[in-house]
Amino acid sequence: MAKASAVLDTDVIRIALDNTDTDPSVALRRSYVELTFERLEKLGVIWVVPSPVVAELGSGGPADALDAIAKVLGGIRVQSLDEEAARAAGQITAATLKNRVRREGERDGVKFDALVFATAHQMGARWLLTGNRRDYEPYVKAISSRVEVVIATNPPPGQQAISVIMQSKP
Amino acid sequence: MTRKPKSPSPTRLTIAIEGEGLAPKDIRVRDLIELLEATASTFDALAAEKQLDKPSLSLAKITNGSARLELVSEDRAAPRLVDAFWSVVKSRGKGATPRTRRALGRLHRAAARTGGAALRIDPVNDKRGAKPLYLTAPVEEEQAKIEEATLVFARVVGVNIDVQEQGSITLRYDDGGSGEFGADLEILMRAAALIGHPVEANVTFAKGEEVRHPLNIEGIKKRKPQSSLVAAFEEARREMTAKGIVYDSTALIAADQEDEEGGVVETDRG
Repeated sequence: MAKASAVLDTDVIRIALDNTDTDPSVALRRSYVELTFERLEKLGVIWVVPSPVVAELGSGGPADALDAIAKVLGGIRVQSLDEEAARAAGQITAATLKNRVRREGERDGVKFDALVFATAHQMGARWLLTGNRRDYEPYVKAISSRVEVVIATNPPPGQQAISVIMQSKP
Repeated sequence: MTRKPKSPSPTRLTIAIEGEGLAPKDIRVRDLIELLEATASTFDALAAEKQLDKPSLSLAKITNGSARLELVSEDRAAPRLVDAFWSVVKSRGKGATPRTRRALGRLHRAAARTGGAALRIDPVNDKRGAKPLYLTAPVEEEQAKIEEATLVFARVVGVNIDVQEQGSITLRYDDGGSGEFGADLEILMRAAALIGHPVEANVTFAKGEEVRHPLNIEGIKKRKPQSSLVAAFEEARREMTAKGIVYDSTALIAADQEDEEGGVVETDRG
């Protein structure tokens, strides 16, 4: 039986790379992302990064960080955006634009997220890990995809939330 | 932070330090504080045992007779916890978790320190016909319990330190479930820095025939990531930090969002 694939989106990678260690909420999100990685790795998943994620990662952030990012990506399969996936991205964009009232001056265009989701869909990925639920939900409907969108920045199902940080009773 | 659900009417519990000619003014403030703290700790231990939220207890009033302390709580779980408190005092801690028994022992010692003859617990919510209980020291457990020392793989999900630097650490085990352990201050401070991280901890359990109750954490350290992907990201973070590179995901995600504002769909990132 073929191993299931789990696709990482840009937000998840950015959070996993965060080394600021100043904001407890970021540390918490990173902790949940790591928990999700651990759980899925136990299921023997193949990690995949769609090529549009590579583009988005390179489009912002410190230039010096690219080396470190490249090393991480070196151990992960990078999935190219092929013609079929590009068509799916177009279909997603058309469907979402149809259901949306545009603001003045707003551009039309295919978002990175649409390209990422279309790549995940086209390759038959089982999961797409993100920190950004709302963008992907319409995409699932738009192309009746079987890809499961996992909010990796939340506690994995069945796990208790990390709620108590430190208490000092008065 | 979420607010605890409140019950429709406050739950009341009255405890009284009894003694001939004893009045509230005869109780030293420090002894009173310790008595209240020990009471609250007993409720915390019961809440952990019953897997309920810790109740928020308030002192409503202090009256004569000999020195009556009326405690109230508006938490929804409070009636269950007050019943549990009543039961555990009545049974002298028999069958309770080691933590609850320790808390009950502390309450007993705190009551003795006030100089009263006994600590009386009045019937819950003034139930008619019910007689008050008098707190006595927890009974020795007849059933021999084996203390088991072991290594657990877990994540730190809670650290509590009270005013007396007594504390507890909650671990969520990698293979499911969680436990609340006692620890000394050094371990507590170390655990506080490891919140959310995978750890390996040397712990002790009191082992009964069927269940085991968490006792103490003797040592705790950050564990190497079990996932190769987590390890790869950890290495990347370490490399960036060593080179003085700051990778701020919040700023980057906000910038990504701004870039796409002119695009198609709004996002709920961050």
